[in-house]
Amino acid sequence: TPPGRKRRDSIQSYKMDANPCGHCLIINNVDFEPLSELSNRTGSNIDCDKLERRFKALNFIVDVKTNLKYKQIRHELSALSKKDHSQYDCCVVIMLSHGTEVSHNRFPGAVHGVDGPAVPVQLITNYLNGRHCPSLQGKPKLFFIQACGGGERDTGFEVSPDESRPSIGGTDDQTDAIPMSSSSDSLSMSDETDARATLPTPSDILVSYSTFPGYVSWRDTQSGSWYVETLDRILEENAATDDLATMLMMVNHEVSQNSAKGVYKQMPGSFNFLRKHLYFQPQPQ
Amino acid sequence: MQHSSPRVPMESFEERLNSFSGIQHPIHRERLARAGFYSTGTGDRVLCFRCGGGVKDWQPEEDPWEEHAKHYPGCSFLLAEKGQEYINSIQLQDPPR
Ligand SMILES: [Zn+2]
Repeated sequence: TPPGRKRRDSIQSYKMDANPCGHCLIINNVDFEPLSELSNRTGSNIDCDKLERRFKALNFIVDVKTNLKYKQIRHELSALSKKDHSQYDCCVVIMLSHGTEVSHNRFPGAVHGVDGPAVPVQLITNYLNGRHCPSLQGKPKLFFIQACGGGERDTGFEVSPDESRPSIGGTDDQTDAIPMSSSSDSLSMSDETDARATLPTPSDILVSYSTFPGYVSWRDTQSGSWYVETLDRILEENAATDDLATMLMMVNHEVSQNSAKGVYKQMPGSFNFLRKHLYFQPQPQ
Repeated sequence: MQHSSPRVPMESFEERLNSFSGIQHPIHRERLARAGFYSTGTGDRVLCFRCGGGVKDWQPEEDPWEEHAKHYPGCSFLLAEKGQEYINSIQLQDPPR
């Protein structure tokens, strides 16, 4: 235990020593139905395996669901919210799928079911908020989303349009981009009223996006996505000593430094409504 | 992805700036207007023209962009003007809110 590390719930950090720590639901959408007009996400199983191992090592009860349709995603989230989390300290939801742009001032974007329709991230987080899941009230609820928004490729600044063709990236690089959806239902079922913000503020929720909705997220068919690969490695190397926000800063930095064969840029997004530091409890291997 | 759409009220900097006329505000109106905020006409309450996010109870030392990024990190105006790296730096800063 590093000096100064608080194991118990305190002003500074969340209590995270329940054994096991909590549930971790991974939704891994790989094979999309032809009618969805979305391509299969080759390489996603690699991401899924990495994160399953990682969150087991962080003492979570990991449940993997593969190829869920829109309604099944909502069903799984609803089932997770109806579980009794009283004896746990945390809850994690990981979504690996195609994504699309949906505007929202806290949690923008949406994640596609294998049948096509997309579940807004705001709705995904709402399933676990204090109102819908009282046994997680005051406990950190973490969402990791490997997906992307509209079809915009963020090429950085120095690249001319002529050079920024995906063919430069090589055949192994696929993107999670899909055509823009126009759906933009704003759902507000948040937790608490913040003294400063005039809209109710979600509390104890953190969403980490592989990229801001609206930009491409890179996935290699052989090695998985940059974001998951980096997240997995940073968690492996630093979870024993650093808090989650610090580690996400490292992830964001590394992913943004990377670029698909030197052309495309990707910047992950962290939308953090946690009230305290969060230290995981890695299990001795 | 921004598409040209019908005119949004308070979309222009000047409009937002003018909304503060006759309003006593602890923050310089030009800084608020630049950060996308306009006055609701009630106390120090401001709203973002793009995301609709509101902030009140301002302290003189506060930075409008920082507050925008702290409370409404999903705002597309904020993203376009400041970039995701800036938003992340506010969202992951120490100590947490
Ligand atoms: Zn805004």
